[in-house]
Amino acid sequence: MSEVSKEALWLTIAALGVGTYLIRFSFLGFLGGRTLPSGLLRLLRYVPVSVFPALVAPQVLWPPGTGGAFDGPRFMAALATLAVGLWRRNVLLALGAGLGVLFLLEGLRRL
Amino acid sequence: MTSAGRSVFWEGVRDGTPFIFMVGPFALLFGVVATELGLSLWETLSFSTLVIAGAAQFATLELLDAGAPLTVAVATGLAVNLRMALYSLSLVPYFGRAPLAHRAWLAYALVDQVYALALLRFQGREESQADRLAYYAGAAAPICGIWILACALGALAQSTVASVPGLDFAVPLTFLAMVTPMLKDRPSLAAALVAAILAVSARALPFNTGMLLAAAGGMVTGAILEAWGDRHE
Repeated sequence: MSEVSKEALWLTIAALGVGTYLIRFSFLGFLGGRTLPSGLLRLLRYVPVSVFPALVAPQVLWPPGTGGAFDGPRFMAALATLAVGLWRRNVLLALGAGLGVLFLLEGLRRL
Repeated sequence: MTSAGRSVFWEGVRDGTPFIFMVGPFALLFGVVATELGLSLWETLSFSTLVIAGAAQFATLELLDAGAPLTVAVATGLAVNLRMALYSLSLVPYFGRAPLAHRAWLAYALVDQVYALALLRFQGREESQADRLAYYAGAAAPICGIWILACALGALAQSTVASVPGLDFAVPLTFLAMVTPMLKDRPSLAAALVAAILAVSARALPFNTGMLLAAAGGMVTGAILEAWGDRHE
């Protein structure tokens, strides 16, 4: 990071910090206690079930940790998380299954 | 805080604490990478405290390191965080009437895992606003705390914990694990499926727009199917 000046770094931190806060504050802050129309409320119910899959799906196929190359252990770990999560409806069980598969397959790869 | 509120706070802490083990390594890694790129402990700590958003912090730092213009680095980081506007909007039904000071700190702590835990708790459960605030604060304390603490630890120790093989994938797995209990009806399943397929197809679009379009597609799918189901009941 030799070519980035301290001024540029601090400017970036400040701009990203303020911008990110305003994004988070946006509707919560400025909409306040207004009652939202029912159509919008209906859309909003699907925010988490849409945003998280959209965030994760590309990373499952092309994980940043492998430089974007498809990776068997990571893919299988994602499948295990999904399967156990849908079956047991429990966040920690799902995560435990996924991490278990991931570390097991990573370990086997290194034998 | 009333004693009931205090116990709800601790329920939040209990639910948030396991995520220390998923968020922690990611934060350690940020501390390590930032230090390798020449940031001081003070700069790394400020970065993580002011921005408190892992993916955006990594993206911005990498672009700066690659010599990208400052505006591009900041715009990319903000684009990565734009999904949080949706989080903000979807918390309005639960916290819109809370005092401004409360909404101000809620917004600061609105990170992915806190948001997911809050929605897992709030959807389909009648609860006072005071209890919701207490739960949110409890869930946010360990998750936001470990993010800042582990960034500092990574910067200090240049720890090797962050290089455990496969650990880079813990955060995507966390998101997957948190979303599965929410997929309990057909509109939700369809929304998730459409969002995932769209995100994969549109991944090449610049500035994270593919992800945002995919999320919008999923939301519309879910809402349409729900409306259609209501009409046919």
